[in-house]
Amino acid sequence: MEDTIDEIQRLRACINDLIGVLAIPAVSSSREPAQIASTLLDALQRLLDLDFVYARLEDPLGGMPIEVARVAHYGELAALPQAIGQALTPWLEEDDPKKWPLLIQNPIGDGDVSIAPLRLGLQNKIGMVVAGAQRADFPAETERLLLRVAANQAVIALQEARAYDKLEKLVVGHSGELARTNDSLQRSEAYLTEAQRLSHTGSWAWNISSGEVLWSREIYRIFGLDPEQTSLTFDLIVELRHPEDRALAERILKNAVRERKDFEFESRIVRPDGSIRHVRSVGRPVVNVAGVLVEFIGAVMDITEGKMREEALRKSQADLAHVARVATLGEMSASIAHEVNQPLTAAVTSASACLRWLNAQKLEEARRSASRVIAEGHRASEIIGRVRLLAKKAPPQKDWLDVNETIHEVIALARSEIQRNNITLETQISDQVPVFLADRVQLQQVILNLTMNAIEAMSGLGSGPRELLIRSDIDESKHLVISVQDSGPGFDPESLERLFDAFYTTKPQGLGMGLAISRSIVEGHGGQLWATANAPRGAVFQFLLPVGNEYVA
Amino acid sequence: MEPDKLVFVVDDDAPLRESLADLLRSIGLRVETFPSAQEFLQSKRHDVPSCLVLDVRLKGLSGLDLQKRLVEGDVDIPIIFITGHGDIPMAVQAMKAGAVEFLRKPFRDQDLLDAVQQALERDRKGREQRAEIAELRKRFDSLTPREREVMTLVVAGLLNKQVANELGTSEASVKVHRQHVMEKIGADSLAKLVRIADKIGIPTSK
Repeated sequence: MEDTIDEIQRLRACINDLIGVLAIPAVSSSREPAQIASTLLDALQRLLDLDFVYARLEDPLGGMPIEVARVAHYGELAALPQAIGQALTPWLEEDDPKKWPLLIQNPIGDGDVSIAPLRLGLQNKIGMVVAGAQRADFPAETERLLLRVAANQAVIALQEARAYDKLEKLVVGHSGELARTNDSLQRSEAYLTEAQRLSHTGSWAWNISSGEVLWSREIYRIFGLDPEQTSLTFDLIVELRHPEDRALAERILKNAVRERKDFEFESRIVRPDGSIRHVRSVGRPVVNVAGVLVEFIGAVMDITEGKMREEALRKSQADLAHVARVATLGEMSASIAHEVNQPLTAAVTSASACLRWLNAQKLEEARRSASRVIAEGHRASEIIGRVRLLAKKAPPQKDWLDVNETIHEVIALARSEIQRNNITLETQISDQVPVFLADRVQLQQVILNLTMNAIEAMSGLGSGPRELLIRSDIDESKHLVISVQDSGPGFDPESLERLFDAFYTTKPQGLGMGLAISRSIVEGHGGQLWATANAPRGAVFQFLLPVGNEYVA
Repeated sequence: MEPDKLVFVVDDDAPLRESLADLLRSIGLRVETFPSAQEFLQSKRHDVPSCLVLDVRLKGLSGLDLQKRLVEGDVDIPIIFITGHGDIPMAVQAMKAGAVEFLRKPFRDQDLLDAVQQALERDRKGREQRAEIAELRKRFDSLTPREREVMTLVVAGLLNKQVANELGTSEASVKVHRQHVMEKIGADSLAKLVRIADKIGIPTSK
């Protein structure tokens, strides 16, 4: 019967324990380690008849550990957990509970207490729980079991808490980073917008398969379009060009897509208000890992102002060249007058002869004389025409040109000047010279200028031959070479560099612009002009023009 | 055509050269043209009254150079210069060297034709004079040394007696020599003899 009563009591105790154990999961309701420890200790205190129970949780970041304690009877200790921790210090560093003593001096009262240490965590020590009771039978087997179950629950809760904590920190960290990234992104976008506005450069992307086109705000501004009311398509992009530039733009863009190549071109666009802007467009293809052309990205730059400055510069250069031409013609006026006078005299003389033949009824002779009058009239007007062409202020204009013809025209104008100075003229004209694109008046000006310089250089010679040689040739690399060679005094090597400077002159009436202008004209045609000494004396001025490409085209 | 007259045109401008020739031919003159001074100098010229129409400025030897060569070579041909420029020093130089005319282009046709006619006339006269002097020289050369001495003294204004004294001979002898001189030279009076002497460059009493 006693056994039965014992059995009943044990069963009851077991049920109580089970209820207690069931209460333990409550420890995991909190995310706070200190809270979890407190809940754990409360549960253990309730379940077991303990004099004290102490928990110490290590700070995973290496800070101060958390210490919590519960006691059956409060003594006079002000800082209870720390006092218990202090009493347990010699053993708290010991990981293996088996090496702990079974009895220690009661940290909160008299005599000894039996203790049960529990390690929290398996690999990584989370902390220790130490329960103590003065009872001799502590800890009984069921008490050990309960303590272990409770400790495991606490470990799970603590690990969860830690993981959660980590996650939270991570989230907070990431959010911060995200916010920072976002900030700097916004800043760089603002910078970019500002930079685009300042540099008049907009960026774009063009998805090849969908046909979708994206423009930065600046491109809309350049084109004078409202982003809200524009739907971008390839056709529109071509359509926005100046009518004369559409075919070019379309060809270049389609070609770039077909060949997946970078492109760059300049064109004019027409804004809705009718104003014209010059833009430079660049783009490059973006190909994915599979080698498929995905999109083109690139930029559009408004180069109108640069173009206008270029235009103004070109115009003032043309004005200057014109002034220099007129000045040269002025220097040649006596010779030109003579050149015109010759055919006029011949015409007047032939006309007189014609009248006399008519009076004598000699019709055949009269007809011959009349024909000569006409021919000489034409000769005079051709010379005047040449002078007028040179004197005219015409905008630069490139035409297909036979440079040999240009040389002959210059000689026709300068012939009288050559003769007057007793100069022997020799020409070596190559029949291999192709026609090429150039400005007729400008090239005439260069050749005339070099010829007049050569004549002038020899005009002061006391003795020695006065020889002028004008040559045209084509070199191996398809460059046209024109040279004007004299037997004058030449130039001293030190002044060679200054020869081509503006306002450098050795002539009393010279403007000092001739060679500077000639060089800029030649360079404007993509060529070079330079001077060398002629042996045994004199100077050679020659220029080289690239003509090969134009010839092929 | 006046076959007994010839105009030479030297100009390096072919159309102008031809139109000048054309004008001259239209009034019936015979014309020969040359593109340079050298070619003119190398040509064989007929011995007929002629003149030269010459451009001042020529390739190579200039018009003035040609004039100088002709004077140096004792070739007496009237020159009409034509020029494109009213170059006064050049004109003065040309006229000093004996040019007939200096015409500036373009000139009136009549001015050129007048100048050419004048030049041809001058050349004709010059030729006549030269021919006459040559004839008179020939006659003078046919005199004996004594006759030349007598003639020289007579045209210098000496009387027969003075001549005889001068030569250390008799007055009668001087008279005989003087008669031979008058016959050989072809002078029927003293006045005529003095004129002839003057023409061939013997100092006279004039």
